[in-house]
Amino acid sequence: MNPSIELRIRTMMRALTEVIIPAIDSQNPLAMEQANLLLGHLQVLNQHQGREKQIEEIEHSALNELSHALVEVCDGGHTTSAALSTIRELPQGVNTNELAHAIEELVISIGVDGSIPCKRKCKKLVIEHARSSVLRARIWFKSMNFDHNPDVLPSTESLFT
Amino acid sequence: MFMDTKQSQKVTKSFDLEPEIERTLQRITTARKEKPYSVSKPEVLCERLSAFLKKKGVRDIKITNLKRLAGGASKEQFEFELEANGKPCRRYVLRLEPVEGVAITSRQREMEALQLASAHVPVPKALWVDVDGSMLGRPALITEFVNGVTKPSNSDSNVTGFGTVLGKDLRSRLVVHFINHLSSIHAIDINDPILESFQIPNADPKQAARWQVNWWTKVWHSDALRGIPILGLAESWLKQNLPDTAELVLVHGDYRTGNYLFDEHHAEITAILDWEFVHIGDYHEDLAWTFLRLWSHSENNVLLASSLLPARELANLYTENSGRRIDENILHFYQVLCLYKCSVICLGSGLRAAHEAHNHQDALMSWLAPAGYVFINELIDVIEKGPHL
Repeated sequence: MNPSIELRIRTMMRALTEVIIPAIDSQNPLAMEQANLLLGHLQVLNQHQGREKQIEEIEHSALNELSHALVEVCDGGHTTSAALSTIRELPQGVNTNELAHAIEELVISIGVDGSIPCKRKCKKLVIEHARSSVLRARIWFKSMNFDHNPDVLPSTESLFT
Repeated sequence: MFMDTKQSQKVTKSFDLEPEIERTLQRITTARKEKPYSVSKPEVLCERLSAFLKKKGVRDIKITNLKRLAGGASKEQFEFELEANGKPCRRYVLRLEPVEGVAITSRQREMEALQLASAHVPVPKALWVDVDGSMLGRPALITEFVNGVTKPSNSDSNVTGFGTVLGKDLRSRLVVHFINHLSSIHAIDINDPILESFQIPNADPKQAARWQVNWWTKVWHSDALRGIPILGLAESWLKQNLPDTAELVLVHGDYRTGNYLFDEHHAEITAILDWEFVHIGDYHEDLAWTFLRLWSHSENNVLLASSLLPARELANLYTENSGRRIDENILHFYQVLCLYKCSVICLGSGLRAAHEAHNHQDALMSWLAPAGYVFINELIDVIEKGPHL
């Protein structure tokens, strides 16, 4: 049987906690800080392992939906039309980064010379997308404790149900 | 005030940005071509430091106890002791720029701001600068060492410096100094010749705000690995809502708890740190920055801005102290700008630096990135609901 990723991460954490961190020179606070940071990273990686692809797929699909919705309402001058063409010409199966860049560019272009109704609809769509995308990210990374009140965020499991 | 003092800029430029910032940001292009960053080795640094100081006219140099300091998300930090010119040994701090980090900024500007501010507020005395890194390997600034802590010594370790918890007594005493010093910074004469590398945004009343928007949108478009549609919306919003600046002041740019040193026993601020975002602009910008939730602390369901006081009380204290009125519409604009800037720092520049292996703390850069989502969450609220005070 192969050692699981979970086991390998857990053993690395133990090595850090029991052997490496106690051996760090107390006169080297940066090394100590970095070692503790690695421990934190490993802890979060352990919670994420095996699910990163799924979360990326959810993100990609939400961006796809947003791009289709924006294309539907898009109307404006040269800048908006150019950004619209770019998004329409994206190849099937475009990667998430490129898709997201193209959408952001379209949103900026609509701000430049989109029609008033298009600007209004664009704002609503982008805020709706941002609310759910950011909530997903906050849940996904909640164990990093950046949120003021991480306990009120739903569990990581909720992202996949 | 407008178009009547030094270095006014033409508004007709297609992309209106402070020239010195534009020059500094050109380094992003150069940086992108560089190999992974190697952390500085103290023994090599010691030799370079000695040669550098000699060139600066320091005599009989004896450098001892050169060692790394913790923290410093954007700079490699060292402390060392120097005995020179026949004078007793003193402690100094050396801050070296990695290739990339949470931001690419100018050490020359930081030096000028520190030198000018030292007559008005407590800051580390800035002594020597290697602007282009030709002597120390990387651009660097050397200041005197100042005693103090950024958080109570009995508090939990927190590498990010966010959400510092200050006790009731400590914060009630620190807040007075915090606001006094902010008022003093805003009262500094922006026409002082020390500020040689600063330009004044006085071509039109909106130029101060426009320069900031153009600075941070340029950084985002250079650094973002993945687009974020809401940041596109925020960019449009900022460009369409540029406020007039009635009074131009020196803006610290990163004024918050976590960025000053204090003496725990006397509850006094001993040094205001992190001047790398300093510029001439609108005082609302520093206030908006101090109010951001991520460096606030919640106690009994009350959010203490910069872990000191509720934002409204902090704003009133500032007005009482400085005589400057707070315009909520202008504050709203700068809250959006500050949240945009923080999102760019975490999800743009920091993540890019980690991606390119261009920082000495790549692991911290990748750890900090998700904080960007918390900033964006607040950004959505502020765009939708207006300023929160």
